[in-house]
Amino acid sequence: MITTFLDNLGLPKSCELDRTIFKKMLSDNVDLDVTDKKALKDDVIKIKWTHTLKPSTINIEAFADSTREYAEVAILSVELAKPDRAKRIAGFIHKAIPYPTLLVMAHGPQIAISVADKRINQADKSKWVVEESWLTQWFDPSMDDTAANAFMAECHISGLPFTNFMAFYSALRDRAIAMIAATRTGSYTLATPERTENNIEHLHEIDRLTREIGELKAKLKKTKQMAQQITLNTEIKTRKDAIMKLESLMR
Amino acid sequence: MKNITTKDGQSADLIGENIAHMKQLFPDAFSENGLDFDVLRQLLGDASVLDEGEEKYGLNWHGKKKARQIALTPSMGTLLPCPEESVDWDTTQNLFIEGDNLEVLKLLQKSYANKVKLIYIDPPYNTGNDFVYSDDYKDSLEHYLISTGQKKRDGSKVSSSQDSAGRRHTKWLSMMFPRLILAKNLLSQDGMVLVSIDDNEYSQLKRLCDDVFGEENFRNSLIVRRRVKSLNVQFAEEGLHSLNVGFEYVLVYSKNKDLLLNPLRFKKKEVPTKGSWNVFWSGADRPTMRYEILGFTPETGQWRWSKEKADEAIRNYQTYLEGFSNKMSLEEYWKQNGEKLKFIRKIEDGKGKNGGVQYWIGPSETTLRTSNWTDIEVSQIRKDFDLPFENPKNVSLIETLVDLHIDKDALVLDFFAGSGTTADAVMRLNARDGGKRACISVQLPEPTPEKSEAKKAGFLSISEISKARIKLAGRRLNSSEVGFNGDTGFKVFKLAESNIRAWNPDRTDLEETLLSHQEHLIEGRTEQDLLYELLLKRGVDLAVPIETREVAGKTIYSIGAGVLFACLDPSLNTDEIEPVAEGILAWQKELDPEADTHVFFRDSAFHDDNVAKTNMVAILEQNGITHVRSL
Ligand SMILES: C[S@@+](CC[C@H](N)C(=O)[O-])C[C@H]1O[C@@H](n2cnc3c(N)ncnc32)[C@H](O)[C@@H]1O
Repeated sequence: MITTFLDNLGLPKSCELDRTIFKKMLSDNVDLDVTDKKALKDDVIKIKWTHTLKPSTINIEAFADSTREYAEVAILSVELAKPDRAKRIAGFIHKAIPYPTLLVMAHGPQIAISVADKRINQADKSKWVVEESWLTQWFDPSMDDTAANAFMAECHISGLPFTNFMAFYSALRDRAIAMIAATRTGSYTLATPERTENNIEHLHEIDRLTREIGELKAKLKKTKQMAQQITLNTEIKTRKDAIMKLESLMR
Repeated sequence: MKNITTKDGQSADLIGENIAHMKQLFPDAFSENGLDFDVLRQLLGDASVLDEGEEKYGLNWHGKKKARQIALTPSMGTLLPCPEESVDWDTTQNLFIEGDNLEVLKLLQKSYANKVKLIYIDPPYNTGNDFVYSDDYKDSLEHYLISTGQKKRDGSKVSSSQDSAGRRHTKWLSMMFPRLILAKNLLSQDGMVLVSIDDNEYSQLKRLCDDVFGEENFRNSLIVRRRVKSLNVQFAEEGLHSLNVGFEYVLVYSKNKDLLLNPLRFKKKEVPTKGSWNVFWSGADRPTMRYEILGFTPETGQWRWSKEKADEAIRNYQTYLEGFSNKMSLEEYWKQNGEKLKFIRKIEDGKGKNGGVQYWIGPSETTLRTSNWTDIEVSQIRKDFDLPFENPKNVSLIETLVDLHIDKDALVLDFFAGSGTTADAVMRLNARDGGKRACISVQLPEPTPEKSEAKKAGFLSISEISKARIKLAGRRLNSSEVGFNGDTGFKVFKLAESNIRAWNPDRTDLEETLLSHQEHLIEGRTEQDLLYELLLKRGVDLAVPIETREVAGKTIYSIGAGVLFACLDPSLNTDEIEPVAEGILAWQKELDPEADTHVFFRDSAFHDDNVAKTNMVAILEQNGITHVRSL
């Protein structure tokens, strides 16, 4: 449930916005490809801008340097009819909103959190670029799930730095990445900045290896030769072992 | 299946397509005069061609057909693993194979077909007595075994070494031809072959390679500098019969026409300090490449770059003129900007077709290699370790040759390995550019001559020298100075008679052939010997990692992370059947392979007890392993 998660953050009332974002507004203002459009039309039920965090609504300062401008933080909820294309949908919503954004994606009782790094476009300072977006695994915030509980406890604003929005949002982002790492390690471990950097690197590598394993498996299905099967299966095994090693590094 | 296309109302060129297919399958059977049916018959297994009339056209010598037949005759040998002589046996991808390369190339046909990316060889140059040749194709393994003392001579012939002048090239060609044919099969589609040679056989080799690899795949004859040791000074007064030979060749062929070589560069002797301006116009007629530059549009020919690139270069030069030309030279400005900027200018009152438009070429320290490699010496003893081998190739030369292939993970093969320079070069190149190339070296255990330095130093054969060299070279790279931590190991294998007595060369069904013989395994061979023969004849890569486990006192091997299990113990008693089967099943479950699992046993291990055998098969089958065989 979206509200379970949002209530858990402990944000002051002054941040509440509760404004609906119409799908049309997105399709009119963002560059969407055919699949994006289809996902928006078929999968998304409702998007709401639930909270806005600005110096005037919460006691946190804006942040700006030559590459980043974190003037405020937006929190949105996205209700989905189907979860399959959640990552893609999160991607273009991040693209549409100029502020660092926390997305609470929901499908039935399950939710998944998405965060993204944004920076100023150096060629055109009025634009911004999404560097990378992250989507956690799906979980039910009202169920007794150790990793999810730990993650939610960590997300309460009392545990987040109020220095400025950059520090505040980065801490949230680190927690989401720690949550993703938990799918690999089995337990949620609090994110320090160094740990997050390592986790990002390892998760990228795991993604790449997983893709390669998929390709190798497809090839393996097609061959009947034992020699070829041995080569391919050995290559799969090496990658599985490498993934296990990376997982142990994230513990 | 491919669709037949009809063009402009013509009917499909079925014959043309057939020929094209045929050519792809059997390039050897085609010459400039079209298909040679005799060769085709021979390639399809009809050996009676041998007894028929003369060869017809192309490069011919007496014995060519026989030489081709030699390539087609299967080997009766195997490769025995020698972990004791190896380095990093469990992990290395490099192989060192001791034996006659003809037999070895045959044995590698299944496991390495289409896998080798670069072959470098330095065969005997035919300068006199520099190679041994047996022209009995039925007996080449036999000959090898006798000459290496693995078998006793039974009084029959060994080809005589008496040579008439005419026989010289013939014997050499007959030696090379089958080896090149077999080598070509191992090349991947993006493979290439490099062969060292000198004046003695250059012209024969060139034509032979045209024949084997196709003239269209010839790339270059590189020339490499040969240091002349003793100049004919004392005779110079009277005039010379011929000049001292100051270079030799490396022939370069590709497997396919579309392979692209790595554009190698080398350091110029004198690095220019200044750049230069050159005409930005060229004669090729391309109207789309004629646009306006600084008020001038050419009427013929073309500019060298696209408009965007040129516009940027014009802007760059403007920026330089306006902001920097009073402070620094163009060279300095270029250096400051990472040596990347391009510049275009137009000289005042420039005339002619090009309107005086020029582009700037930066001072470069390197230049593209041509086929003239006389900056590299062909032969050089490694100074950092002293091994008694005459005229080893210069390791830097081989390093540069291997670098001609773009793939940094290429599998390299040298089947005239000599002192192992290629294996050394491959490791060094990896250390330099972070590549993961692997090398297969093949070398005859040719006895070192009596009283030679090598013999005195304790090396009984050349392959002993090679192994010592590769070991030393690897250690040197691992040493703290270089600090290379890539693969410097090698797995040693030795050519020997098959583990299976009276090998019936039915490669399509090894197991059946084997089952029909009782007591067909040679005594004294180890389980590993059998295992590697199984891998070889099944076409499995010899560097594949093999894991072992002990179950009920028997060794179980797992290859390919659970695709293949083998238990080759000579004896499996009734009460051992179940624990062994369970052991295999448990391990298979653990590994959880993505493909079907195959299991092999030694047939005689069951002591003719059909119940035990059936039992084994049944237990495995119940648990989903259906490919169970014995040998
Ligand atoms: C010219 S040397 C190669 C030298 C090598 N490139 C080096 O740098 O040390 C040729 C080598 O091929 C070996 N050789 C000749 N015939 C062979 C055969 N049939 N099988 C394997 N090796 C053979 C010879 O023993 C000799 O050492």
